Amino acid sequence: MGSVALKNIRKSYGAVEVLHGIDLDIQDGEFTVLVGPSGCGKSTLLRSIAGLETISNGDIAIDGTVINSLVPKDRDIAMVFQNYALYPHMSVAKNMGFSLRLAKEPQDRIDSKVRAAAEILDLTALLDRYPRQLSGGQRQRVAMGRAIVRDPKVFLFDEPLSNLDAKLRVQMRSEIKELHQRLKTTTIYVTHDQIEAMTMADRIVVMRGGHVEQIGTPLELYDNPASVFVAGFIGSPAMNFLPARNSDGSLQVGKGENLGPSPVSLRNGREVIVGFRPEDIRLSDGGLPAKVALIEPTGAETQLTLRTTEGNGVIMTTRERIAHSVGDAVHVAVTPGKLHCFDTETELSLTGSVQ
Amino acid sequence: MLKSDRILAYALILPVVAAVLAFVVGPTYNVATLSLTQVVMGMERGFGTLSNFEALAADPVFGLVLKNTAIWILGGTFLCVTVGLGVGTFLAIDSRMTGWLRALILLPWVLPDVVTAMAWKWMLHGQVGIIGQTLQSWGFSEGAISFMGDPNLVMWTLVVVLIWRKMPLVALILCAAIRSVPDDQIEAARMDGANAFERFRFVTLPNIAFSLTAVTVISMIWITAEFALPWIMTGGGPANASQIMATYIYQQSFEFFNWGVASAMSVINLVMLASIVALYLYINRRSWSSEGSK
Ligand SMILES: Nc1ncnc2c1ncn2[C@@H]1O[C@H](COP(=O)(O)OP(=O)(O)OP(=O)(O)O)[C@@H](O)[C@H]1O
Ligand SMILES: [Mg+2]
Repeated sequence: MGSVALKNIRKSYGAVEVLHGIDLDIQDGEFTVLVGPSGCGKSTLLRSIAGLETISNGDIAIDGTVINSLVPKDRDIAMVFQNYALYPHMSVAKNMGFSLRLAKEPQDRIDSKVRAAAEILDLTALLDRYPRQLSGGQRQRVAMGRAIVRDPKVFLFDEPLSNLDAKLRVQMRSEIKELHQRLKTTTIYVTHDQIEAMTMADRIVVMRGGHVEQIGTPLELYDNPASVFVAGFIGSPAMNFLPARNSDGSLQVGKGENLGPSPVSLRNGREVIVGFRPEDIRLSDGGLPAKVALIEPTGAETQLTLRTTEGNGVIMTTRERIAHSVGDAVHVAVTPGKLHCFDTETELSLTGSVQ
Repeated sequence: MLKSDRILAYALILPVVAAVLAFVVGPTYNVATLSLTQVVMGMERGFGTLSNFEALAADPVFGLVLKNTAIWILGGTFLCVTVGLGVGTFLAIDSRMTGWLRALILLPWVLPDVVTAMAWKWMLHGQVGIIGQTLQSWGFSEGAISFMGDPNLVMWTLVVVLIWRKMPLVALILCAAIRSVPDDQIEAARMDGANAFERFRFVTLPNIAFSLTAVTVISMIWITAEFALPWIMTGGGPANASQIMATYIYQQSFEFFNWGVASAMSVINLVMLASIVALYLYINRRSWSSEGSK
C-alpha cells in the first residue's frame, strides 16, 4: 500500500514562496508524473515529499498517516536522483545493499535481495563493478536498484533520464514503465519533458509557478486542456493559438475568415483565443488563407509552417505527401469539433462554460 | 624522434636535473658519507666506520630522543589530523559564523614561528604565565603548573602548541574537501536511512580519503621538519625531556660539533620518515588509485 495525499503544501525559501498551496491525491500503485517548465517547483515538491526539505505549511500523508515531522528514513520512500548519486567508493552490490546494511539486516538477506533486484534490472554481471566503470544507463539502473531493494511504499524520480542520450532515454523510459507494471509501487516522477509525461503517466500533474495548473490522464489533458498553458505544454508540436471573435456562433479570425462553429455558446462579438492542434487541420479549397513558410518532412509525417495574412504562425502536420513548395498560397480548414476556446484575459478554457 | 629533438629535450630538462643534483642528491650524499666518517671536534678522522651509529646506540639520551620524537611526530600528526578533521567538519557547515571562522582560523598559520614560540613560552611560563594562573584561579590546580619544567608534561605541552600552529591549514583543506562532497550523495544516504554519523563515516570520509591521506603525509613532514618551535620554547630541556631528533641533531652539530653523530641521526631520521610515509601510502593506496582513474 502506498497512497499519497498532499494538502495545501506551501514552501518558502526565506521570504520567497515557491510552492503556493499544492493539493494532490495519488492512489496506491499509480504512476504520477509532475511536469512543468524549469523553476516551477517540481523538484521542491518531490524533495518535500521525500523529507529532504521541510515544508512551511500543509500536510503530507502516506496511507492516511501524516508524515510531516518524520525524517526521510522513517517515511518508507525511495528516491532516484538526476545525477544517480551513487557512492563512488562502493561496488554496485554495496551501493544497492547500503540501505539494508544500515537497517542491520543479516548479510544473507541483503545478498538475496540485491541479487533479486539485480536480476530484474539486468545488473547481475555488474555487481562487483564500481560506478566509475559503468555507462550512464547502467548507473541509472543501479540507482533504481538501490530504490527497489528497499521495497518502499513510494518511489520518487527526479528527472532520472535527463543525463542520457536520446536513444537510451527512450529505452530507459520503457524499462521504468515495465518495472512499474511489475512492482506496482506508487511512483511520482518529475520531468520537464512532456513526451516522457505522456508516455509514462497514469496521471499527469501540470505545474506552473508553484501552482498546480491541471491534473488528469494524458489524454484528458490532451483533449481538454484547462488553460492555454496546458494546451501549449502538452503535445508536440504545440497547439496553434489565434485571436478570434465570435460572430453568430462561429469563430472568425483575421478579416472575418471562418474557422468553424464555436464549441461553446458565446456572447456575439466576444474576443477569445482559439486553439487547434497541428494534426487537426488540413489543406482545403476554402477556409483560412495562409502562405507556406517551411516544409519539414520526417518520413512518416510532414510538418508545415504556415503564415496567416496577419503574420501569425500556424503549424500543421499531415501524413499525406505535400505537393506544395515554400511561398505557395494555401487555405486550411480545422477538423469539425476540434476547436478549443480560451478566455483572452485569464487564458482559461471556456469549454463547458456559458458566457 | 629526430636526433636533434632528443638533444633539445635533454637540454631542456638539464636545469632541473642539475638543481635536484645540487640541492637534494648532493647534500643527502654528503650527510650519508659523513655519517660513516668519524669526526672529532669538527675534524674528519677516517671514512668507513660505523662508530657514529655505535655511539648513538650507546648514548642513553638517544633512546629518550627516539621516544620524544615518536610523541612529537606520531602523536603530533595524529592529533593534528583528527583535530583538523573535527574542526574542518564544523567549518564545513553553512552559516555566517563559520564563514568568518574560515577566514580567522588561518591566523596562527601566518605568524612567524619565532613569534608563536615566544608568545606561548610566556603564556605557559611556570610563575608568570597567564594560562597557569588562569587554571589556578579557576581551581584546577593547587600550586603553579610548570608546563615546560615538568619532564612528564613538557612533550605534550609542545605538541599542544604544535597543533595550535599546524592544525588550521589541515582543517581548512579538509573543510574544502568536505564541502566538495556531492550533496546528492549525502541526500541519497539520508534516504537510505543513514544518520549523521553514518553519513560522515560511509559517505563523507571515503569521499575525502585522498585529501585526508595527503594532509596526513604533509603534516608528518612539516612536523618532522619543525625545529624553531621546540628549540625556542624548551631547547630540549629540562634534562633532555623534550629533546627530539631535530633539536638533538642541531645540538650535536652546532653546539658539540659531533657532525658524524648528527649525520648518523639524520640518516636514521630520513629512513624512518620514508618508511612511515611509504607504509601509510601503501595502506591508503586505494584512495590514490581511485582518485587517479576518475
Ligand atoms: N535552496 C533554495 N533556496 C532558494 N530558492 C530555491 C532553492 N531551491 C530552489 N529554489 C527556487 O525554487 C523554485 C523551484 O525550484 P525547483 O528546483 O523545484 O524547480 P524545478 O521545477 O525542479 O525546475 P527544473 O526543471 O529546472 O529542475 C525556483 O525558482 C528556485 O529558484
Ligand atoms: Mg528540478
